[in-house]
Amino acid sequence: MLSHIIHNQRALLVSHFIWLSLLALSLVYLFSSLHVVSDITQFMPNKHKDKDVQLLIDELQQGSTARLLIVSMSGDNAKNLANLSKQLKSKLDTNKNFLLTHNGQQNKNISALINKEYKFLFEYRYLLYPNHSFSREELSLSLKQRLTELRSGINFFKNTLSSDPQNHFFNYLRTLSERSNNTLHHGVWFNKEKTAALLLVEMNLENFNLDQQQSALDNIRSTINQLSPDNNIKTEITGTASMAVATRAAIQSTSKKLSAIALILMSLLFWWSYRSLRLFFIAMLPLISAVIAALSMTNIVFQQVHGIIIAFGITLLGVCIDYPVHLFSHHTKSQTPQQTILSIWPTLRLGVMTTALAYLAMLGTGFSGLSQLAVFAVTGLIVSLLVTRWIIPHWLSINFIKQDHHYLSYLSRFNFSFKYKFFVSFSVLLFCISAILLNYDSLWSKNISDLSPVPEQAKILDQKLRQSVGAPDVNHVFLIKDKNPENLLQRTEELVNDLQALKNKQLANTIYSVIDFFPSQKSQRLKQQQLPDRDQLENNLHAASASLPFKKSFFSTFINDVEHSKNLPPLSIEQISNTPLNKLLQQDLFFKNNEWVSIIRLSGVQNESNLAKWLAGQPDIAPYYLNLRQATSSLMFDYQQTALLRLLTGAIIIALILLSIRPVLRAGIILLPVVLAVFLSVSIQVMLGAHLTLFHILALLLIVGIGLDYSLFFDRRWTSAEDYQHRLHGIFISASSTLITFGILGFSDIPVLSALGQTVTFGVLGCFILTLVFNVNNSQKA
Amino acid sequence: MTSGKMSQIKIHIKKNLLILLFLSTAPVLAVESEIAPKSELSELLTQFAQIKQSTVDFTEEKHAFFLEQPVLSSGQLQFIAPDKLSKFILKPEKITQQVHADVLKITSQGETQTINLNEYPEFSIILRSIISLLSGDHDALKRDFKINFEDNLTSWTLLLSPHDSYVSGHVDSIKMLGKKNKLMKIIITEPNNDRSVTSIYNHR
Repeated sequence: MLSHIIHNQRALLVSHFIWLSLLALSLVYLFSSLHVVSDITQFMPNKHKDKDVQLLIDELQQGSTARLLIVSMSGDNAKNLANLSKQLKSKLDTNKNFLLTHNGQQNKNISALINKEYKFLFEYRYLLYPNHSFSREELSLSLKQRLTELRSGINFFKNTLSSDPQNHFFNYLRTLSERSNNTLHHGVWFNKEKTAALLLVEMNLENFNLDQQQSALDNIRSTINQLSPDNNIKTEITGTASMAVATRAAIQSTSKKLSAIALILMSLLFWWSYRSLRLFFIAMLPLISAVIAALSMTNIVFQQVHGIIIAFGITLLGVCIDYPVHLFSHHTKSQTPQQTILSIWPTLRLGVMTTALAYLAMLGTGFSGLSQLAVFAVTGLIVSLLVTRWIIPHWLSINFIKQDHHYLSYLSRFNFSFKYKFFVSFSVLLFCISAILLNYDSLWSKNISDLSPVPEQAKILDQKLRQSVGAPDVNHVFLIKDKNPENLLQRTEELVNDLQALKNKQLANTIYSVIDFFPSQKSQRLKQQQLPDRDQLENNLHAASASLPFKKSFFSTFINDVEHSKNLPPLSIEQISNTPLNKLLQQDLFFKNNEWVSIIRLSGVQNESNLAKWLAGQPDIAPYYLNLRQATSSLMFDYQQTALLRLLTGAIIIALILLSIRPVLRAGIILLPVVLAVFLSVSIQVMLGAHLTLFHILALLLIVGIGLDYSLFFDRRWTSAEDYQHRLHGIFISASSTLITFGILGFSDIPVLSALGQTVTFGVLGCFILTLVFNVNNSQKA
Repeated sequence: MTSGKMSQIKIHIKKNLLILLFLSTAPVLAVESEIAPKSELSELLTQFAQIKQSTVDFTEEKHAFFLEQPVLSSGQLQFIAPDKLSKFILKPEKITQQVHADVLKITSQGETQTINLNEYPEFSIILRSIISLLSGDHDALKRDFKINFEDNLTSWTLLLSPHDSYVSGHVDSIKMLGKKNKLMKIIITEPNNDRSVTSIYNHR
């Protein structure tokens, strides 16, 4: 007896030493190196079949557009909002957290503009933009137009008159401003309704660190508050960064709310079932250990943890609380806690191992998010099992007695006939099949944003503001790549030329590409050749201005500039990158994966099927066409099929394990209620109008893990009526705790989490009822 | 005795000279203190404020550094209190400019261009100076300009120099000349000496 106690003491010391030191190490590690990311790319395939689609998605998510924020300010009259916009721009321009702020404000002093940042572009004006108006008649028209402007009193171009009497440079800049269909009001960008002033802010970020992004956003908001302390300006900010921050905030607030409500309800549950709050805190130990270990392991393996994994994973580990619950419920006064854990150990171990294997099937899918989830879940499950096995028993007092509950003897008296069980399975199957068949076409989600953890409100805001600033539409694009930028520009020119047919056939309104403002060197040389000689221009100009009151030789700068243009070396990509047009250039032309990429965008496509028909007849053009919406939905499809396949693989692994250690019939009875519950849960979601995504599949995996535990515990041989009631008690408390956690999650703001919560809630409810129906009084008495 | 008288006379002359001197500088001082002209300008503005609608003919000369001879135009000006000003250029081509509050509409060759005047303070200051005068808005004039007003019995001159440094880079001064409650001439001078001279007649 004494040696047993000493042995026990030593076991306690050793196990607690290992447990506590590992926990401490993990905590130190997490505090120093936990790296939470939240971009949706983590849940996207590492390599999409179509490399061009992947390239475009990467560019949209990580390229220059990912650094942009759209700021909208409303709630005051337009004049004040415009002033606020101007003040905000000048404040942010001097703030080193931001690279550039655009609000449509133009330097009205054109001559100052031309002498400063636009000087270089002005020099190259005749190479960048076509000008065929050098004939005597056209020059005369231009000059008369300038006189009309002078008479009207509103002449912006007085100071550029001598060098650019045709307003050629202004026309060039105007084609660029037309690309963004912004509304100018009081000199700054407004939405179409003119109720909100809009700004585009480019952040100065070295990496996409969430805290940095958060502080940049706070910075903008506090600056606006400083500028208008009395007014209730409504500030809305969107952009990749702001959505990431909003997602993190939503996950944090959901986790907080969830844990607060769950804590209260769970402690009530424990009080009701065990008359002990102490047990509740003991039951939390495996869970807390599991979360810490799982986070550390995931971060060690992947050097980062996805935000959604944390939210998903922690609730997933809500399963972990089941293990100590089974221990508590099976514990009687006739046993030591060690004896109790040994008696349920084989069942617990089998449950954890099968579930863990199902999760391991998610490894190697090529989706980094899924791999992270697998590592997280498997680590968490195993750690909580180990803590339940070697730590928890030491914390239980020997003479711990739990309350008897009448419902247990009521539940244990159930005994369903074979006919009844058959009827139940048949009607569940009938319901599931009809639900799935009725919604077969819309069963799977085709919209990639369904996968995004971004709160619904943030998504709507993002769409609204993107439309108001006229952000480029990337649904219909042509993508060309070339190692040589000059070749690429020439090929872009050829393709754009071929695409003019789309405008003629009214299949598209406008075609945007880099050559709108930066033609190839070949085309620049052609423009140079088309410029008139000095003598020719002098003669034409002389004739054109003969009857006009302009001073003789006033336009000599113009004549010199045209002559100078004829001898300029063509403008290179490097040179134009150093001008204010760089921002625009990056949307259409960028360097990626050792190649130059040019993007031609179509806007105003009314009829997609007509466009597709036209493309089908153009073998030279069609290969460059990308329909991003279609591409991403096919990508979603591939993705879901892969995940579904892995789920089936996991199920087969579980079935094989059970078959190898149980007779076929028993294995069937263990699996049947779980399989039925999975189908039931899917069918209910489908009937509620949800489109299935990856997260539903992951939820199903969770149901399998939880349901299997119930089935296995029912399957355990029992020794007495009291023992049988204990297992019912354990399963009942487990199911109640899971329903509490996931029921609360079902009300989350984040669509992904609420889908998860609802699916698991229905699934676990189904599992509990169906295992009861199929297994009650079905296992053998030992 | 005689010498005493003489010295008295001398003193008198000195006194008178001083008084004369004082009297001759007084108007200058008064102008600088802007007390008297202000009241006269107010008087004039009160007269303008009573005219709710007026139409006149005009001819305009634009002198610019790049022109050999000035560009001419002529037409009608119409003012409706408090803030509607229209300029109908009829010769050599038809251009209509209509200002209402902050918006300027320019119609020429069938095309209408709308300009928000808040964005172009250098243009709006000119229109505002005319509207402020015709509507008799003294406060608005004081807000925008340094005012110099001269009035002799037959005619008056109002010289306005913009306060705003950006605007004064484009508009040096606006000089308005008139007789009683009639505006006769507007001369707008730019810093580079380009100027526009508008002569107004046929008031109705």
